[in-house]
Amino acid sequence: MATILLVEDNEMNRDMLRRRLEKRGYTVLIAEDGAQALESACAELPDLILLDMSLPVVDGWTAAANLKADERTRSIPVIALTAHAMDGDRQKAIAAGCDDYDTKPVDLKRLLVKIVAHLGEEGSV
Amino acid sequence: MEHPITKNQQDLCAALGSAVELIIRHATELTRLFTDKQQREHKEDAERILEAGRELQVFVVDMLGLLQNGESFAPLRHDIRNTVGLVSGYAEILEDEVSHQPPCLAELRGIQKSTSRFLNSLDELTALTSDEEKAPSVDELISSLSTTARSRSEATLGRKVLLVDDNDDNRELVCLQLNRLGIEVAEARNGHEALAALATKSIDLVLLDLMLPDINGYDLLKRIKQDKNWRHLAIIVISGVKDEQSAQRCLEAGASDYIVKPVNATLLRARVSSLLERKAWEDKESAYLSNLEASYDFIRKVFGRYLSNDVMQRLLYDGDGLSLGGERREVTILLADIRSFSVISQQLSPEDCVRLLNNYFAVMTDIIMSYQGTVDEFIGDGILAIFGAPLSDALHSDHAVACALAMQQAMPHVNEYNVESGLPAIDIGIGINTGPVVVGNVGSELRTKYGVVGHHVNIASRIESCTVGGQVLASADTLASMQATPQWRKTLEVNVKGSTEPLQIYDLTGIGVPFDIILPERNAPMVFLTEPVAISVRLMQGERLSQSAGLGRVVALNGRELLLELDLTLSSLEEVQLMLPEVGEESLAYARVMGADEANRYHVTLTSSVGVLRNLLEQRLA
Repeated sequence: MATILLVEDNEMNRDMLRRRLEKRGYTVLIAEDGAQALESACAELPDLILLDMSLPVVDGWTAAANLKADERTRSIPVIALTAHAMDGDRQKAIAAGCDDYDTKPVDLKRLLVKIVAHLGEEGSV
Repeated sequence: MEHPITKNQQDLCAALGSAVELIIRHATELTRLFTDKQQREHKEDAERILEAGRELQVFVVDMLGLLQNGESFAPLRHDIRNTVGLVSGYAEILEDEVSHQPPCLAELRGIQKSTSRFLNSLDELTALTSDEEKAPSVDELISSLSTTARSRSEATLGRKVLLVDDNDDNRELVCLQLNRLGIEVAEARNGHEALAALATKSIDLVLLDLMLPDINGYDLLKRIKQDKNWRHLAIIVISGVKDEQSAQRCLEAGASDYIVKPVNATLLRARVSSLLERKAWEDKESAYLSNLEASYDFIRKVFGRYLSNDVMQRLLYDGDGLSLGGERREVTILLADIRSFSVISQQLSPEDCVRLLNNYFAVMTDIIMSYQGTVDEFIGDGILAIFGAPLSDALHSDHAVACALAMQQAMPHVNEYNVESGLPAIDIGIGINTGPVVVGNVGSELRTKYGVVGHHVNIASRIESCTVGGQVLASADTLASMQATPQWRKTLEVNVKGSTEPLQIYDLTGIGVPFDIILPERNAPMVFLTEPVAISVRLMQGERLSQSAGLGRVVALNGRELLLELDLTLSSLEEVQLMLPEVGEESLAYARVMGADEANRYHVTLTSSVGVLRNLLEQRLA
């Protein structure tokens, strides 16, 4: 089963989403900010990264750009998550190198469809 | 003072508030349901939901505060969405884990329902509050709409519907539905309020309930349809009873549609949209038509000064009247110029100069138009008129010649005005030529002028430059094309650039029937002076003085014609500056050489009516 790196600074959000993903059978790794995310991604090479865009230390936009600049992590699909739900966020996320985009609050069914799409056969539950 | 928060925003905030309250109520109940120690983890999750719910409650209050201050709640929206996510996320987790406990499940489903309602209201509020902050869901929705649907939303946006219904709940419901289309709703609880609203507000559409407390809805419908200000309004009748006769009666009275209660929201929105769309098109069309009418009025006013009605008609209403490009056509060109205007204008203030020209142009334009000519251009003091275009005229050369003679005839009238107004008297010379030229709209899309181009225009100009005051000179081509009989006093030969053959021109004095214009004879015999008067003569080269100058004597005169004995050799049509040395610069005058006689004396005609020289000479007459 696929491993997902969840990058989220809000503890409750993190806990909630982790549990929901684990229920679906995914292995969930945690990072609390953009710097940890890059570190963890390089070390663990997850199958997919769920990246909250408003993060402390290094924000999601920068983290996404860094992940996509690094040869080791470049091929890992990144799904941006933002609660701003602003008009330009989607374009901004794609421009930063994210492979997909979803809004918070997370609609798990919708998010799972995207996760499965990016993971390919391996990700199907 | 007007509050920045709209009723609609208030409604949505209220909806958010009640959704949160329901979340809290269900979550509280849920925490009470997990009493077992084994269920401690579940209880913790339920408490998280409760905590998040309470947080949401604070956010909603904060948000209302921001809206009331007219501020954006965008920063808050981020936190709100995160917190809503917690509620629904934990609820979903619990739903999985307590699927065997129906009471808990019921609370959790209640929480999920309220959460999704909360999110819908939040999206609506966001879309309402600022265009820039459209949620992606809205964005996606819009981009997935077909183009017709999108143009429909443009048609409904900002439109005003008058809703006439005495039931408060009905009105609120319909208001909410129409607000979603961006439609502004004015409400009326009875017929009198409806009439008042119609009189004071600009309404695009009326939704009319037939059952009203004061006026019968059907009577109100008839009243609106009989008023000339409101007749155009689309009216949708909403009726409590499905009654075919009533429907027929309303439609016959002018209602656009008839809907039976309970009103299906989608159907209502579709009908309102389509009627508003039609109204938008009608408004556009009538605005376009009145714009067009105004433009035509403007064109008529401006060009009516120069163009005859026929020509205007052609330009305005002919399909291709204004397209660029010309056609080759035989026309007659008339050029009129005020003799020595540069000299005259130097002696006038700019205001007087304009006054003089305006009067002169006005008189001449009327004459030109009366002979079916078109004033193409005023060039300084010159007038360029075309005969035979834009409208064809088989008699263009006859008309041009008759027109020129009429113009000369009108000069005493012009000068009468000038003298009365303290302006100098003027003389004009007119040159006429006929030939094939290119006529049409010349220029760029932005600046277009109906004009005439070609060699024959230049010839007309050359002919005109040979005239003296009072003269009408026309080319042989013009005379050849005429049907009426011209009268001339003499012919001249002039050289034209680009032609090796000298051009034969006629000094016209009249035209026969049907025009029958004869200019008064100017060539009365010369009267000799008792004693010749010394005069200095200087040759002009265009507007400048040349070096060749000489002394001579005036021996005879007749009106503006002088007979000079000179030690200088002059050619025909050359322009000279004259001055009486004994008087000095005050006597400066200009003249054109008309020819030499057998005794080698020169005939010159004074071109500018600078009176001093003439008066002095006339005092010396025998």
